Amino acid sequence: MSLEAPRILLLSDVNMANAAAWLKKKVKSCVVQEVPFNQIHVLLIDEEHAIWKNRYDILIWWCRKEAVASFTTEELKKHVERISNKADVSIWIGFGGGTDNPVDQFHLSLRKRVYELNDMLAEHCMEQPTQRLYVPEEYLIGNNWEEKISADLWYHTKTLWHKSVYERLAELTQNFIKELTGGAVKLIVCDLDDTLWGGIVGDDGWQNLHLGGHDALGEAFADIQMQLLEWKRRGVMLAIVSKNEEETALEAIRRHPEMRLKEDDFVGWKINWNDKAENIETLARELNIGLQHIMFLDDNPAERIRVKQALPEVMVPELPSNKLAVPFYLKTCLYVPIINRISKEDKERAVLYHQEQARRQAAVLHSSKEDWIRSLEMKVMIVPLNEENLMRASQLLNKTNQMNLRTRRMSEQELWRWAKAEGNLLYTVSVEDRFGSAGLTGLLGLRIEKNGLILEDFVLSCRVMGRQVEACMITFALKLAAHLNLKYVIAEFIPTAKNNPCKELFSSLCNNNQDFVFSWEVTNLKNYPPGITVVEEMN
Amino acid sequence: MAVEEYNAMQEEDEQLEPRPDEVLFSRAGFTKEGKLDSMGLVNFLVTLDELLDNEEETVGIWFDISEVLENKETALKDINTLADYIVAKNKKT
Repeated sequence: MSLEAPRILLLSDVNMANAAAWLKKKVKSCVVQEVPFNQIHVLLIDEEHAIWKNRYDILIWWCRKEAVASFTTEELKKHVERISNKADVSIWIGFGGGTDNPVDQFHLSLRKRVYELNDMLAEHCMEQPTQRLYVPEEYLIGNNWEEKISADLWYHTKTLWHKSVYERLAELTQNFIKELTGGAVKLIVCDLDDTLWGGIVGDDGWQNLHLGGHDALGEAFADIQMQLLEWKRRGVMLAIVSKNEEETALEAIRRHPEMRLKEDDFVGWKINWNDKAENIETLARELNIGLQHIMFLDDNPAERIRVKQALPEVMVPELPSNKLAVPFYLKTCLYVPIINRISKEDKERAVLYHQEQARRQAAVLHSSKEDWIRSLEMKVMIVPLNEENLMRASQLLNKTNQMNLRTRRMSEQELWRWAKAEGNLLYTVSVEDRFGSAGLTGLLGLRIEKNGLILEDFVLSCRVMGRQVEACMITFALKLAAHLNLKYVIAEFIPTAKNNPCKELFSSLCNNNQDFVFSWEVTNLKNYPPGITVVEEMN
Repeated sequence: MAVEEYNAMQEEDEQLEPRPDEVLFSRAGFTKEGKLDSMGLVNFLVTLDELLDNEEETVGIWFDISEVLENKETALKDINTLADYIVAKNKKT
């Protein structure tokens, strides 16, 4: 599976040329295969059709119920199961609850059929992270479906929906890919005034803010906060960037009885009069999180434009100007992962960052780096890849840019296959210290070749960089080579725009390097760095 | 504006140039290659129709997409002829 340049099969009974056009614009380097108008029934019953001979990375299904009317639900279920095996990832757009034919809305047996079909699709997708069902009314069309149908497009081209609907389909696909490859939103940075509550706290006072109570605006802001809490429950971190006096804003958070979000719900804040883009950047640096994992919520279009321009990697949704519409907008916001497919480390991220702050404070107290490392009482665990740590390992491989030797990107399945292939060895590295666990933070991919071990992957999260874990990993690779009766370890560095820190590290750890090739002789094997306990499992 | 909005959905080599003599579609006997196929033509006309409906200064100016497509040899020679066609149509009504 390659979600970097995916091959997409677009299955529909209507003309999907506009969907294909948007997919090509939004999903980088994708190739889209469409099917002809009104042919889906024939394609489903013809299992030998040329279209099924290929394998696809992503399958997108969006058919009207008329197109599958002659199948029983059980028959269609079999087709769904069969065709989902033709792709690694499937996106199923549910059947419209009458939206594709207004008369159907009053026809109860047809509505029952729609429920049955959608129920079947939901059951198919359940517990399967690579199968996703989207309800069209919620995610693509909205409730005013008649505004999204273009009669001219339908009668002239057999394209059912307005182009904005297909743009949204492409965005939905793009975000699902991000979610599967560990690129989804991990931090939501919120403004306060007129974003988390109604009114200006500095002018109105916290007692007079619109929040909760029997007040339309207050209820909407309470719902916005509930949505943020729901995202936090899924493992996304929350932070504040607001132009306010810090004490005034914090007092509102602490004292307003209708605040759903509490001070503890935020991993950090920058409440001051500085530029918001600069504040977001500082926060990202302090929290050690990439800008591409940040979403910024602000009611003020000028602030949104500023952040978009200064930090193009940050996701900045265009919130509706009508505050009452914001909760509905957020509910179907595609940027945030829909399913709780977040690793243990992601869920504990806020705790990890607080631990890191404690670690930094400890560093100030020690005069030398060696003393500081000893004081951390570090334990590094190096174990082979297994089914339990596969998801986190794949996330780490796909998102680490700086300390990454060759920047290989692989899906979970590809990584598993590579690790299990003969002559290949893949180890995960987990780190803990007296402040807590940093979790799975490193990967070592090795390949046996002739008399040596070739380092295919050397990946380390910046969360533990500079704490001698790097030296532990190289020492382990050398010990492994000795254990396998091999003579050397070789690493070939592939430069990217971001992995210079990795090159600098290898240059500091290796005396024998030519251009971008580093090598170590097993005869020069040294002990692990002092003060660190390494628990290793070679087989 | 319609060109800009239409182009948003298109890959670079399929985008229209925002100039009056931009040829919209290929026709026999005409040397220049137009960029729009039949699907692109409808997409472009739908986009233009929506913009005319939504922009304050063009509210009230209208055209019938089916009619324009029926007269494409004259109305859709290039962006200029389309504009002229719509203006003439609105003067008559």
